[in-house]
Amino acid sequence: MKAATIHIDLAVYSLEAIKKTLYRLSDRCSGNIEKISDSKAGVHLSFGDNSDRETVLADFHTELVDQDLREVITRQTLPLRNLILAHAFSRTNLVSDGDEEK
Amino acid sequence: MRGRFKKREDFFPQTTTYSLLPFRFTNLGTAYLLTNEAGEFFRLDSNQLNAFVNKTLPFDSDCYRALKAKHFLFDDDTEIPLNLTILKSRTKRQRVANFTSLHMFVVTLRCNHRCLYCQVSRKDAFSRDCDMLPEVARKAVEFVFHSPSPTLKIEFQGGEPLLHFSAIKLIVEEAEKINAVNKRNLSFVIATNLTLLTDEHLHFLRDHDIFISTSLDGPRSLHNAYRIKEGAQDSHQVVTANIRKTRDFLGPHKISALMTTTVGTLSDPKAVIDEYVKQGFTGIFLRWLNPFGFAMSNREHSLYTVEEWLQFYFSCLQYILSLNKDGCVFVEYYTALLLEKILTPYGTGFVNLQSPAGIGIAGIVYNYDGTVYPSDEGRMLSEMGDKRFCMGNLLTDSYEDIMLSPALLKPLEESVLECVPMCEDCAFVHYCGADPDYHFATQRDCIGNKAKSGFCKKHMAMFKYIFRLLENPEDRRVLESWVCWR
Repeated sequence: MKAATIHIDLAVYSLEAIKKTLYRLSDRCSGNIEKISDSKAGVHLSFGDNSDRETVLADFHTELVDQDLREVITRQTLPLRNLILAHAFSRTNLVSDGDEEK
Repeated sequence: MRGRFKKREDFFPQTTTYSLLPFRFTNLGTAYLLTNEAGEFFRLDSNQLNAFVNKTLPFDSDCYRALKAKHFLFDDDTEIPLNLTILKSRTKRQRVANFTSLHMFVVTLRCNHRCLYCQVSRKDAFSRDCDMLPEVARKAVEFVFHSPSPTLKIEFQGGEPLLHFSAIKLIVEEAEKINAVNKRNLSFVIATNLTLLTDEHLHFLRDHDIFISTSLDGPRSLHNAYRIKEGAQDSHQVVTANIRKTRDFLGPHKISALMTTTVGTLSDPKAVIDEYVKQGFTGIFLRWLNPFGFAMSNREHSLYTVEEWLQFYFSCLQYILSLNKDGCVFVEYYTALLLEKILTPYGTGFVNLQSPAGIGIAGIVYNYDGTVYPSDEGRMLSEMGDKRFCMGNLLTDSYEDIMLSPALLKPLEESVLECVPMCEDCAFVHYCGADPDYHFATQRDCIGNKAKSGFCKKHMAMFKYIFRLLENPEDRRVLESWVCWR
């Protein structure tokens, strides 16, 4: 089975971004994340027989950058997304008034 | 005249910064597609996307103005984009509150066809104990009117529903009686192979404004190869003759047809489209064969791959577009459903394109024996011995018992796509749907791993293809003509 290890600077990319990237590629490779230090992680990839190693590695890097950008967008927009969804469901009787949780 | 009028900037403060509104993006290869909670979309290249997120986009650029108009950002100038996003987002989700609109009645399991890809549990035409009894039919009609939906569609299925026409008559008359007081937007459709149609049926259909949905797989040889009629008669000949008869009697828009893609269809996409045009249809629903129920044991589903189906779909769509450009109005209905989600703020009622899933809340199934299922696929699973999706029985359980059954609520709760790995950050999430039946059938899990999902692979490819077509003004003009703008 083909394999590769990628080292990632955790000051640049979060563990969550790495995990989401691995999930997206899970039809073509499986991965194991090893936290080497507070600032460094190793990602060990195993490729399926039908997967092209170089293509998957290139896709991994592209996807990681995209996942990082998604985190930036989520950080900036999360309160607004919650506001929009609260309004969207406000007339459906599906939103709890909070009493049930108390 | 100089100095007579002040500049625009004197009335409005200069924009100094902007705020992002929530959005998702997907890499299309050559560009990024951005979509937002309102369902608006916009394409940017990599540099523009980074500049947009890092707030370095020039305020006077076309890109900035377009992103503002499509509710991807708001600034000091106005918060209208935020308010419009809220409004459109609410409109898109209105269907969740107005459940359930489609009510499928399996009035009998008996059928006079033995189709090779049949996924339901058919019995031969003379079997007993598989017809819906009057007390079950009456209970089911009462159940229908418990639904809050202002629109109620009752669809008769089988087996072949015309083999149990007395149940259809009873259900239609009972529903009309209740609706005389209830005043819903009530409609009826019979999903029939049309080979048993009589004048008595046609008179009843006309008197009660009932629609017909039939099956036509393509030209004679293809249709008859897979849709095998008991008694070895020519199914295609009977169906096409009865399509003409129905049109003449009920009117041209009272009948539509569905095709099922088989391995025999793939090699000649034009043949199927040409057959539909020849038979006078103005559109086609290109339906793939799902790996459900008894179709699994026939193994027809495994004879073609997602990639092969996609090639077939792309070829068909190209051919249909060329027909339209040559003046022949012809629609591919599944693409039209996707376009309605892409281009309008309204959702569609199509069960497989909902989040949360449409099972039970977009459509619900009443089996001949009174058992209730969130989908036809759940019913098929039950017929094969796995009862996990049985919501209850009309004869013994109340509306509340059935609609609050874990057999419905558990897959519903799990199927909110905005919370599903990979769907949550997919740009197509608002146009797509959870299909718990497909994922359960293929991965034994209602959500499944989307990276390995044929449903996801298929829809991703279809969305990317459709968005590419929308970039071409000529294709876009045709595609926009397929959308119901309301």
